[in-house]
Amino acid sequence: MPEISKKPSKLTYVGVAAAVALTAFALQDLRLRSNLKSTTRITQDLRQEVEVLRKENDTFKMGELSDKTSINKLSEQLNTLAQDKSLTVSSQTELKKKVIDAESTLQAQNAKIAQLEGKLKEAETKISRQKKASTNLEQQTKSAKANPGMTTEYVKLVENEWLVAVAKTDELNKDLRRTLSELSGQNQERSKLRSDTATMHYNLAVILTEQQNFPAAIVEYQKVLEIRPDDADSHYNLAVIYDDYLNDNEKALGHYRQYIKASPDTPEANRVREWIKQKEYDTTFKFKI
Amino acid sequence: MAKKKILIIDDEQSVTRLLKFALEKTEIYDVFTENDGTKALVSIRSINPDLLILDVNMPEANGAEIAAIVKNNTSSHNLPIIFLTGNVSAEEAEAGKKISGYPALGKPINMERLLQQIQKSLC
Repeated sequence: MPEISKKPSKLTYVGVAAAVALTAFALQDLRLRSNLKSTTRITQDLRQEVEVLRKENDTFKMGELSDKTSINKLSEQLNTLAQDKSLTVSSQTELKKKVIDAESTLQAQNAKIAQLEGKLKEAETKISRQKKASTNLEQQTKSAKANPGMTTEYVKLVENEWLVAVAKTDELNKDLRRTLSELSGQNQERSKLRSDTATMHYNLAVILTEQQNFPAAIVEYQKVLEIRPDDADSHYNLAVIYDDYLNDNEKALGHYRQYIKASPDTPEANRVREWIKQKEYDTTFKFKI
Repeated sequence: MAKKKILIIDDEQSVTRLLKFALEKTEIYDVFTENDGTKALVSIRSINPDLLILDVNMPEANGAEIAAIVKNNTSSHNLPIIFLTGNVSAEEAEAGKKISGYPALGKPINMERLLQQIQKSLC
């Protein structure tokens, strides 16, 4: 049997080579297309990301602007508050000084009045004694004149003593009237001074309340009440301090009641009456529990 | 005969002046006066009177207290005292009104009654 030749022809070689080359091109093209697609997608993603970042940046910029405005506003408020505080502190210092001065003047005034009252009492005692002596001498003069046993010299002497006593009584009466007038003037001055001092204590108490220095504010309100026991505003403010800040219902109630007593016909009084009722109810309820 | 010494202690100068005048007119008494009640005891010691005429109500001193001190003092416990007071009426004085055991005469002073009492107290 003839042996079949297995050796490929030249044409076969060329065909195979061409086929291989074509396949390689096709593969490369496919790869490139795939790469291009991928690059396009990445670019799109990146664009979207850039867009998001741009938007975020814009939002941030706006926020920053808004924050700057807020910071400026807050800074302005802080400055105003600092100025207010500085004013309040200076008012407080000034008021304290005025109160000390007024109290010192008041003390001097009280001493002067006490002295005048002493003088008045002394003058009254002197007048009383002098009047009695004068009456005695008058009777003694009459009795001496009616008694024939008494010498003219004695009668004249008694009568003279009586006249001197009457003149002295008049002089003492004048002194008494002068002292009374002086005392009345001093009392009027003291009354005005006391009223002014009470107002200063009240103003100081208001400033201390604003600073939330409640113990000091209470002391100042109490000083107002020492001078003006029926000062409605002081009772009201004290009641609010005890009620809202110190949670002392008993004291708050006491001052609310004093306020109603001092100022029963104001619109505020009706509101306070309601608070009192509520507080009394709360207190009773708490007690029962 | 030596004159009897009378010391009058009263804050009212008109009273001491009148009594001194009236009693010295009798020419049997030497009259001394003191208008400051706080100096009563000093005056009694320095004058050493035979009789004391003493006002009960003085501004700085109380006549009854002065009399008590005099009575408790050994050197003066026998000193006779006549009280003068505005709180005793003529009727009460007439009835022999006494303060701390001593006779008391009212004001205005009845000179005749006073002279009688002085003589009685000095006996």
